[in-house]
Amino acid sequence: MQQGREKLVRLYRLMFLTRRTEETTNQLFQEGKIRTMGHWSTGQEAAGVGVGAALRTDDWLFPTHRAWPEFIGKGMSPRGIVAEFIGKGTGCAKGKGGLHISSAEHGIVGLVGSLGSDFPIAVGAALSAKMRGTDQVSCVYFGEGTATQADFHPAMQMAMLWNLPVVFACVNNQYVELVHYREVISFENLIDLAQGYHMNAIPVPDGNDVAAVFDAMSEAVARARRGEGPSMLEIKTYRVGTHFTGDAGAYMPQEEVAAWKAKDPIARCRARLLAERALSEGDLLALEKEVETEVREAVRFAMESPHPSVEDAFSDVYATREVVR
Amino acid sequence: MVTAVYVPRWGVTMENATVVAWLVEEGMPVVKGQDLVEMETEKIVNIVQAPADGVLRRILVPKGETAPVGALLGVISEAGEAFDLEALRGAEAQVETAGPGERLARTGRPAEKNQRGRVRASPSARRLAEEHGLDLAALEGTGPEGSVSRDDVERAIAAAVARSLEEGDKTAEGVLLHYVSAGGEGTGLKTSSIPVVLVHGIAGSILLWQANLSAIGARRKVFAVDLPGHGRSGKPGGRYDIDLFTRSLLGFLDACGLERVILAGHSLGGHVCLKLALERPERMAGLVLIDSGGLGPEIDVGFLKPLLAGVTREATETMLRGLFANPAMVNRSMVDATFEALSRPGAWEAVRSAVESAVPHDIQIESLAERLSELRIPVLIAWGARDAVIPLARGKEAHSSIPGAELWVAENAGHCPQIEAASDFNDRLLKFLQE
Amino acid sequence: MSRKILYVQAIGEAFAEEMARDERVFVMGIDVTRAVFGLTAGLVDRFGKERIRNTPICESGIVGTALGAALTGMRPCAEIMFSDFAYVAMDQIATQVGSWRYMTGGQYKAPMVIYTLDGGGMGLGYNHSGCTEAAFQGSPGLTVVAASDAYTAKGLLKAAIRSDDPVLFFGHKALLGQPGEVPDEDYILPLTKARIVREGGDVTVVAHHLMLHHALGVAATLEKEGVSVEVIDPVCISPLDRETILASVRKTGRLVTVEEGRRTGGVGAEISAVVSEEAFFDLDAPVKRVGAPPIPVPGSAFLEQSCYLPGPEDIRKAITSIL
Repeated sequence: MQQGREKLVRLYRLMFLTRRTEETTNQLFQEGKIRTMGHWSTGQEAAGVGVGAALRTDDWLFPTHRAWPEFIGKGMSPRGIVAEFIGKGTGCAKGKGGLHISSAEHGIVGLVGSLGSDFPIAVGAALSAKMRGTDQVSCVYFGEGTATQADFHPAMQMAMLWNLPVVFACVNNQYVELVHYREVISFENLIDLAQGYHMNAIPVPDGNDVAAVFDAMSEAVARARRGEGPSMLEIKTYRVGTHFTGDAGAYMPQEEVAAWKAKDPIARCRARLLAERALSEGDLLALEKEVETEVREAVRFAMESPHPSVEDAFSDVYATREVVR
Repeated sequence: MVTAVYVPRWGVTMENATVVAWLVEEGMPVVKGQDLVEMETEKIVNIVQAPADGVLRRILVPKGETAPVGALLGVISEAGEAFDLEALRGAEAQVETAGPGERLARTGRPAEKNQRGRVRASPSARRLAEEHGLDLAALEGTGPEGSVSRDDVERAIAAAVARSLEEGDKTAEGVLLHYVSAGGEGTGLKTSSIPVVLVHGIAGSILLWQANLSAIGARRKVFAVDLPGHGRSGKPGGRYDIDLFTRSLLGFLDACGLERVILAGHSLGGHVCLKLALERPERMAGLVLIDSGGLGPEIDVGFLKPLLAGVTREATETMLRGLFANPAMVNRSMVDATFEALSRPGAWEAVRSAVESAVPHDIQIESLAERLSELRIPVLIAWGARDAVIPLARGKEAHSSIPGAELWVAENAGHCPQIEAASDFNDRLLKFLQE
Repeated sequence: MSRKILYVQAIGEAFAEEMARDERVFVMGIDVTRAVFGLTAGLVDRFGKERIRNTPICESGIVGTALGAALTGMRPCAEIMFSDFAYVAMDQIATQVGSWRYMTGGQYKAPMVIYTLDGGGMGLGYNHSGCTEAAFQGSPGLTVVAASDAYTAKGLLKAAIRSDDPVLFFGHKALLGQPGEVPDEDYILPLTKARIVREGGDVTVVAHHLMLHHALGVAATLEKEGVSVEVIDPVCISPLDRETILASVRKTGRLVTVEEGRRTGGVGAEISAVVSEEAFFDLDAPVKRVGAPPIPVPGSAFLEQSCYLPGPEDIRKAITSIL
């Protein structure tokens, strides 16, 4: 129980940290202070945090573009995320990834823009673990809309063919960019895809219950680590916000949004912590205040950080030589 | 809208300029492109044009004063519109790019050679140099990597022609004939043996051909002559008619020892050249008729009328305006030079007499149209489509009457396409000469 | 000391030697255990099915998986059987493989090889006869090489496998049976250096794969007619070894590029642009490019030979047109 309580507190903090980091960064957009695009995870923090937190540091994560919950779940600090996100030289990729955040230290290998190109790359990492004889696990975390991408099929195939330690974690937030997913996907439950590959399937119907997500993901990761092969998860949730910072979200019906706001994962977790007396209101306020401080500090650090040097634009293209311009 | 006028940069070494004269008074309206103020630098005198429509609200550098490049010269705006002088003074000055004849980064360096000892030159420069018989190695190279660019070759050609420029007098029939010549052996360029002789019309002079001499001189020897009573030629008095002009022209050819020539005549000058071509075909290698008289009766000499009443600056300006489709072609220096020439003793009388004898009752009395088919030489007819003096139709008819003749029409030019469409005219003339 | 081996054997030896040397090296691709073109013949017997790994048909999946393995500690060699199919994996090859290091600010590297075979001339038609290296020019982070004989095939492939950077290696089907001398001792070749295969003074010809051999033949003939041709094997298609090519053009003043791929946007187009920018005043004539026309490869072997594939006559005509 102690373990359970600690786990829940940790997950709560991770979700709250995610939301505040996103909201504070969003503020910078609204004020016109930064130039890139943000894909906020408002309302679906439980899915990303639950998945990220269930992975070990030396496991590999290939995230979606709506990735901050899983980054923070896996252990990245807001400071590391925001500095890179706004392209500063102090970012983990020296500002050269921008919104394509990566952190070798935390096993976050990289974020692809052409969604779904990372399916086989995640499989390749799992293959590497198997060939080198380690017990590392690879996870590709993707939205339901990405499941239709070309390389999904070969990746699922090869994962099963070679019995690789890879988890396909699908977060179904019901919107594929600006349309409802049923407009572009012919069936209701993405988990059905696992059936075609005879892959272990783990549906998570209440994806706003962070503990449920965490437990499901932990099960999948444990299986993989034991050498029992790949799993697919479908985590059902809802994207309360818009696709990206440039979009007004007028295509999302108001009642639908309201209904899901009422099931907000952070509010629910908070309520549960109080109900189970894991934390008092005072504890929670203290925790939240501490998070605010951390977030403010992170954003300030990022904004005050210098740009990458001009020379850095031309470094790290090759490992073995310099670029000839 | 408030528009500031700044001292432009006409060359990379230019630092300042002096106002020679304001051509518009303060408070007067201007149109975009209108001559605004004449300025003088160490190297050139040039005219700044109004960059916008409006009223010249303020002149900041008066006549005789000097100002640096980028300084505020004047302000144009709508009448009554407010403007802030300090702000305009401080704003980014507009700097014009180098004008014609000015060259950026002249280093006086000879052209560079490549690893195999060939002069670095663009293919286009190489071709042009070859056409004109220039040795690339002797040229300055201001192109990239010290190469000889087309501009470098063109400048060398222009310099060679400029060096060959001669001005002088010949006597024919007892009358002094003033002329200018360019081109030929004196340039050191490849040149054809048969020269071109340019003949102006009523009230004109060799000044008519300023925009053409250099281009023609690059390819062959060219003469421009002042007819009797005109320019700096003698003014014997008496009757100035086509016959006199024709005899004088022939006398000029003889005096210069020109056995065979290509004659190019404008307006009345065209009539004269045509007449000579018909009377002395053995002296002719080709004929160019530019908005020419002698091809029919029609002519509108309204533009000359004020001048016939008396030589004034206004009458000169009116006469000049009648020659062009675009009135902005007439600028101050053109009016000055023409007025000066017409003010010389005997000049006005010559003009009156020429008009009286060739166009007595507002029509041309002699037409050589019927005899055009006699011509057995290459002929180019050049005409401004908007010629208000002698209509294009005359030129077109003449073209159809002469076997093998060529016709060139300058769509946007008036009576003087050799000025108003000089560049195209030169190209077309040179093409004709090459054939 | 050296031996004479076939081009296909040179490739096989490169794999064998590098796999013996470093256990992180492995091969993956369609039918690699059976080796349709013989490139990996016999290797599965020596190294086993884990390291000579058959994959399903999914070029994009193959390259992506190889990338994932390379990012996380292995040194994979991914096969694309016909270079035409490289386009199926375009995003992986042209964007992901080459950009990953940069995108992560140097936190990761991708020590992998993608190897494939170009080449028509066997009547195999529009989708089995292509030469696709031109499409990968300028892909950031990627080194694109072309091996034109047994010696370069072995030396380049070994170098590619040892490199910590991703390399896209193009062999050529028509050269598979060509014999060539290879040194007995272990050797690698620099990945980005062109080589002057024949020296000359009147005109420079840059050609690779089968075209290199055609160009050498034409050069020998022209020699007898008093024309001295310098023939350069570019070796590295991207990035180009500009220095070697430019030095040659400055010497000769004339350039003809030759490739079996299409002229439009081809390797010659890039070489021509570089030379025009940097040696314009050394040229005595326009740069000529020899390459295939902008049509699909005809299925008819007759048409392929007569209308599509560039040959010695085309090379000769291009050279003489600028003398």
